[in-house]
Amino acid sequence: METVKKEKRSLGFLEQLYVGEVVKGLAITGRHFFRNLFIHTAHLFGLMKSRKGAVTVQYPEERRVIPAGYRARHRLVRREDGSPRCVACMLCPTICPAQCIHVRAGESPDPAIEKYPVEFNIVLDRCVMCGLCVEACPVDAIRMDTGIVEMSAYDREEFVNRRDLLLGMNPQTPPLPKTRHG
Amino acid sequence: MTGKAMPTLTIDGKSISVKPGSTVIQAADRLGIFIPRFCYHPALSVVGSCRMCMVEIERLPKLQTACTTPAVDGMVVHTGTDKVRDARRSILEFLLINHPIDCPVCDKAGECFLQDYYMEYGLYTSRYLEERWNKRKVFVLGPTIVMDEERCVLCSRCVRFFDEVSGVKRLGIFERSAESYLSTYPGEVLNDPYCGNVVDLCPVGALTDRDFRFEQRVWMLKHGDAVCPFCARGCNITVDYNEKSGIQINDRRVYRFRPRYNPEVNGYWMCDTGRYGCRTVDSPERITEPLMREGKRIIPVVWETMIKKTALRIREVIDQDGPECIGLIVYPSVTCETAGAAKRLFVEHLGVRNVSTGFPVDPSAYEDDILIRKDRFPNRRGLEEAGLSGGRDAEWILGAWGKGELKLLYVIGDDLPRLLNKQKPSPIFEAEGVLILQKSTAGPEDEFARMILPSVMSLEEDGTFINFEGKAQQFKAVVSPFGESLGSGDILARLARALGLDTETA
Ligand code: SF4
Ligand code: SF4
Ligand code: SF4
Ligand code: SF4
Repeated sequence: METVKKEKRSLGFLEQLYVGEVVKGLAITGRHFFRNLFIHTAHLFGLMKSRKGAVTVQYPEERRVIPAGYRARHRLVRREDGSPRCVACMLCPTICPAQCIHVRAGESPDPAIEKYPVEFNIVLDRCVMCGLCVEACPVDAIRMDTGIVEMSAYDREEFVNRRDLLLGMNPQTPPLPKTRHG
Repeated sequence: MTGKAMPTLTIDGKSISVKPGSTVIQAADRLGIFIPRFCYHPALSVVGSCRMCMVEIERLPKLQTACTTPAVDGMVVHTGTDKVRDARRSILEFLLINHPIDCPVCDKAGECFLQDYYMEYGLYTSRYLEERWNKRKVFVLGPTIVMDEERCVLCSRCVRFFDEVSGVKRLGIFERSAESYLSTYPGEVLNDPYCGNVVDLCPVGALTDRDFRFEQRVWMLKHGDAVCPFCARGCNITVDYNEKSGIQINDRRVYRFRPRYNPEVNGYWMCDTGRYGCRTVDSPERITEPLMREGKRIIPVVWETMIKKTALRIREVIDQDGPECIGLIVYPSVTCETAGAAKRLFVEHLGVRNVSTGFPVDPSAYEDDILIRKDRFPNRRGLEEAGLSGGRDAEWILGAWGKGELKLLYVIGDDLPRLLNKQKPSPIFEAEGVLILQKSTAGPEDEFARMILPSVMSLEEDGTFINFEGKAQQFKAVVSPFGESLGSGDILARLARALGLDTETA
C-alpha cells in the first residue's frame, strides 16, 4: 500500500495567537459540562427522561449489561448431583497461555467417569482472560459466564480460585443487573 | 532366493540388503521407513494379528503383512500407495467400532499408536450406527497394573511379554472374534518384578500404571536420558520430568522412568524396583539444606559455615589423633567421579587408611537371569576401579567406631536398598565420635550425625557408573539439584579448599 504524506496546514494569524483557540476549546467543554449537569439534575427529579445525558455510566450504582459471550470470571459446571463435570483431562492447563490453571486428578469412584479434579486452581492474577480454556474443554465444564468483572483482592492468595469456590459460582442469570437504559 | 546370500529388496525406492530370514518390517525399520504396527515388537515373537502393517509388494495380488513376510531378493515393496492407505483406514475403522475414544481422559493420549495412526489415516466420520459394546473400565490386573478393556486392541503384546520375556504365563486372550477379551488366567495376578514393562509395551491406553495414572499428561513432560541407580545392572532409562514454576499444586518433578533401548545392557526392559524408584527423587525425605547438630537440636546452616566447620573438625582430629582415627565409608551409590575425588581427598591428601566401600551384597536378595542383580548398588565395580575398595571392611570400621577407636566417621552416599525398602535395617552409627554424613535422603542414622551435607542423587549430576559386567556408562544431569543440595564431587572439592589443599587435585 502506498503511504500518502499529508502536508500540515499552516496556522492562520488568529490561530497563532493561541488565546482565541483556547477559549474556543473551553467553550465546547463548558457547553457539554453544563448541559450534562442540567440534564442529569433534571433526571434526578424525574424530568426530561427522553433526553440523554453523557455516556458515563454511574458505576457502581449503575452497571452495563454484560453482553453474551463476555469473558468474565470462570466457574466450574456441576453435574446434576453436584459433583464437578470436569473430568480432569488437563486440556485447559495445556492450552492456557498464562499457565495459571493447575489440576490434580484423582480416581473417580464411578468407573464410568474415570477421573475427577481433586484440586483445581485458577490463579486469577496471572490469567489474561483469553477464554482459551473454555474453548479447549471437551466437556464444557469450565465457563466464563458468571458476569463477575470485579476482581480485586488484598492478598495474592485470594486470587487463587480453588475448586470449591469455582464450583459454587453460578452463571449470570436474568434479571440482569440494573442499568440506566434497561 | 540365492542361498545364503543377503537378499536385497527395494522399499519405497530405497534398496537394502538384509540378513536371510529378516522380514520386510525389519528391513523397513533399518531404512528408517516407518510402517504402522500394533502387534509387532522387535523383542517379541511375530504373530501378525493386527493387520496394520499391510504393504503392497509388486507381483503379489494382495497386500501382505510386513511383519510376517520374509524379505526376498528382488522384492519391490511400496508402503504408501492408495491401496495401502485404504487398508490401514479400514483396519482402524474396525478397531474403533467399540473403542471408547476417551482420549482426553486416557493416560496414553499423546503417545498412543491408535491415536497417531488415526490422525494420519483415519476416516473421521463414523459409519457405525449400532449400539457400542461397553466393557470393563477399571479392571485391576495387579497391584500396579490397571486395565481398561474397552481400549484394548488385542494385539497380544502383553501376553507375549509374560510368555516370552518374564517367563510366567499370566495373561491370555479369551473367547473368540468380537467377544475376545484380555484377562489374567484364573487366580493369577500381575505381580512379577517386570510387570511395568507391559504398560510401555501396550500400544494403546488399555494398560495403565498405578504410579503414573492420572499424574500428568505426557505432552507436558520433558525427557532425559539416565542410568537406573537401583542395581548393579545399570539399565538405561528415559526420565520423564517436569520442573515446576513454583505455584503448581504438585511438587513432583520426576514422574516416570521408562526403559531406554540398549542391546548391550537391558534390551527394551527394566524392572519394577527401578521403575518405581522414581519416587525417591522427589521424596519428602530428601534433605534440602545443610544440617548441623547443636546440643540436642539439629539446625540448618548455610553451605559456607557447613564446609568451614566440617573442615575444622577433620583438621582437629588429624592434628590431635592422626589420620588413623578417621574412618571413611563410601557407598557404591556414588559415581566414579565422586569416588575418585573422595580417594584423592581422604586417602591421598589426608592419609586416611580406614576406607570401606559399604557393605557386602546381601546373599539372600532376589536375583534372576533377566535383569535384576543381588547387588542393589549401581557402582560397586566403579569404586573398585577408582581404587577405593580393598581397604578395611565396613564391619571392621563400624566395630572400631563403636568402640571409640575412631574419632571421626565420614560417610558418603546413600544406602539405596534402604531407600527402596524402608523396612530394611540400616547400619547403626551410634558412637561418641563425630559422624559426618554426606547424602541425599534422611534415614535413621541421622539421629547420631553431627553434620549432614545434602548431596544430589544420580539423576541430578553428571557421572559414570560401571555395572557388574564392567560396562562404564556415562550420564548427564537430568533435573536440577533438589533444594540446596550440591553435587558430591563439588562438596568434596569445597572441603579440600577449606582444608587448604590443592583444589586442582582434590
Ligand atoms: S482465560 Fe486464558 S489465561 Fe485465563 S485461565 Fe483460561 S486459558 Fe488461562
Ligand atoms: S478442560 Fe475441562 S474437563 Fe479438562 S481439566 Fe479443564 S475444565 Fe476439566
Ligand atoms: S487408547 Fe489411544 S485412541 Fe484410545 S482413548 Fe486412549 S489415547 Fe485415545
Ligand atoms: S492390553 Fe494392550 S498390549 Fe495387551 S493386548 Fe490389549 S492393546 Fe495389546
